[in-house]
Formats: sequence, C-alpha cells, structure tokens
Amino acid sequence: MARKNTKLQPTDRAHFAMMEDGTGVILDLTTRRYIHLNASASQAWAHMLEKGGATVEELSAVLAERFEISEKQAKADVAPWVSEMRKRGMVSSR
Amino acid sequence: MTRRRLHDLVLECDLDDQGCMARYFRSITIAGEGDESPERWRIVAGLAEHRGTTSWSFRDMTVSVGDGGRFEARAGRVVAQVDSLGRTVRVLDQHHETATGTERALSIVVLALILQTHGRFVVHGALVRDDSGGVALVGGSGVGKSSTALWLSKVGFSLCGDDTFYLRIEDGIPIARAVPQPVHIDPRSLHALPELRGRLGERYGEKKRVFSTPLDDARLPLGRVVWPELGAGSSTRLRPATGAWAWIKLIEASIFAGEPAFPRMREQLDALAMVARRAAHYRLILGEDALQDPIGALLPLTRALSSPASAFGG
Repeated sequence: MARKNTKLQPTDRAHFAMMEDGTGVILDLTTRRYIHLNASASQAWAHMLEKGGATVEELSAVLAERFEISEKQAKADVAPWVSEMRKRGMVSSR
Repeated sequence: MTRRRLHDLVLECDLDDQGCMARYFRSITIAGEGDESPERWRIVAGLAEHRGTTSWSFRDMTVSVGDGGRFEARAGRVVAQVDSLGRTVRVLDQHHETATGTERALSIVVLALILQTHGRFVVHGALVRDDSGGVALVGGSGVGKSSTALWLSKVGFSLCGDDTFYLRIEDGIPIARAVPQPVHIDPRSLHALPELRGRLGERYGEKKRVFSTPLDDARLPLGRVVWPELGAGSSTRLRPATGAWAWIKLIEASIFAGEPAFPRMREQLDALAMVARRAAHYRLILGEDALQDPIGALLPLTRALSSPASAFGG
C-alpha cells in the first residue's frame, strides 16, 4: 500500500498508448504481456506521465473532477488499481 | 568514412508450416565483435537451436557505413542500401525472385535495422492504395494478406507492395511506403486472377510461389488498416476493430517492436499507437464466398473501405 504522500510513477518496463476512445493499453516490455486500461485508468496513467509522478490522492482528485464523482469514491477505485499496478511492476514509488 | 562498430547478430525466427516467418524475431542478441577495418565490418550471426524455432546463420556479410550515415550491406546476392535519410531503399539484387529464405530473412533484418535507426519502422503486411491514400493489409502468415491485396487490385485499388512496408510519422500523420519485395502467394488464390498465372516464378516455401509486380513506393498517408482472417460462415464481411486491439496486433506484426535492445524502440511503439489511433481498422473475415468468387465477395465491401470513418480529419 502506498503511503499518503508517496509519488507513484510508471516504471521503465511499461509502455503506454492511449486510444481515441480514451481507453489505453500498457505493454509490459519484460513479459510482453498487455494490460488494458479503461478510460479512468488511462486518465490516471496519463496524469502520472504528464506530471512525472502522482500520489493516490492526486490521482483520485483528477478522476473525481474528470468523471464527476466524489474523491472518496475515486480513491476507492484508484487505491486497489495502484496496488495491482505496483504488484505487476508497472509503477513504482519515487 | 564514419567509423562504426557493428556486432554479432544472433536471431531466432519462428517458422510456420509453409516455411515462412510466422513471427519475425523471437529473440535477438547483439554481442560485441572487434572492428576488422574502419570501412567494413563483418556481422556473424550465430545459429541457435531453440525448441520450435529455426535460426539462420549469416556469415560473410559485410556492412559499409559511408559518409553521412549511408549504409550498404551485402551477403551473397543480397544487397541492402539506404541513404543517409533512409529514403532510398534497395533490398535485393536483380535475382531477388529466387532469393532463398536465408537471403530474404537477411534482407529483412538488415532493412529493419537500418531503417529503424532512421525512424522508419518495418511492418509485415501488404499495401494497396486508392485516391484517399494507403490501405495496409496486416496479419500473420497465411491469413490472406497477399491474396486480398491482389483481389482488391481488381476492385478499384492498386497494389503498392507485398509482405513488407515501412512506416514513419510525419507531422503527426502515419506515412506508409512499400518495400521492394516480390509477391508470395499460394497459386490456388489466383483462380480469380487468371492473368497472373503465367507470371508465377520460383517456389517459396512449400505452397507459395513468387512473382514480381511493379512497385509503387509512393509515400501514402495510412488511414485504413485491414486485418484479413479466415473465418467460418459463408459470407465475407468487414468488422470494425478498436484501436487497442489494433495496437497489439501491429506490435505483433512489426519487426523489432518492443525489443529493448533496438534503437528507437519507444518511438516505434508510439508510431504504431499513432496508426492504431488515427487509422480506421477493419477485420476482414473471409468466408466461403471468397474461396469461390473473391472479387464478387469483396466488391460490396469496397465502399466502406473507400470512406473510412476515422481517417484524417474525418
């Protein structure tokens, strides 16, 4: 679990492409497996890339604004997703 | 003359049941080798056994690096030349119709390596065109790329090149250009194209034969990609495909894509993503009617192909 102020960023293993419909795909360059991202996960990933890293709180705020949901609800989605991406080696703490 | 250090090149390729490369490179290893002269280097590619994999050993291959980054590679009858901007490409010499699998593989390796250093990325697919630009036919070996390209040449499109094209991004637009390669095709696919039967050349693999066709190497905006597949059912049909699906398939169909050892790897993945985003993608499911009357089966579909919904600015 990431600490509150821990900045998360994509690792060198990950190569991300966002599609026209807002969804995205990550290619894991080590395993050559692909991870599909829905529109909100893609938005979070693009934010991490753009800012060079982001905390769970920051990602939650971005998604809350973008998709007009509460930050609490956004965080409930973001936290486990980040945990999964860390487990897969796609993001790391800075 | 620029002094460049080249290296041992070991590559492993999967072969399909026709002796064609199903996926170009399973693995690539570049190891150091001492310079032999400042002007010419020898690339020695080792032969590696791998379960389910055939590898080629390339020996006596020399590569010259000229002023301004001009490259020339020679091995036997194979010549690959690229100018300093990667604009002029010559892959095989005048005997290219009878190139062996080794020579052909070598030409593709050399071509891809050299072009990739220039930001041109090689994709396994045929290329046709109409007034709106290029239409790529992409997919694995034996799915009907070459046949479909030839059939489309009877219904309003013209054939630019078979098997391999290269891609670059210019001002945010994917540009495709055919590579000089002979057409490789199963003669049984030509029953709808009787005029081509007399032009078949040497055997290629167990089933395919080759013939030459004039190359159209114009730089074409790539707004449409067709993915042929052999499907169940009687009718040939088009199905839109998503960009995410297309990006994954494009990576699989591209030489060196996602290989960290190669230059401009991330740029290549981004170029393929650009194609995935900007082009309209169609799965072309070839039904039983395509076996009987491919021209008749494709004709109703050409309207959709000619007016891509997501082509540039559309």
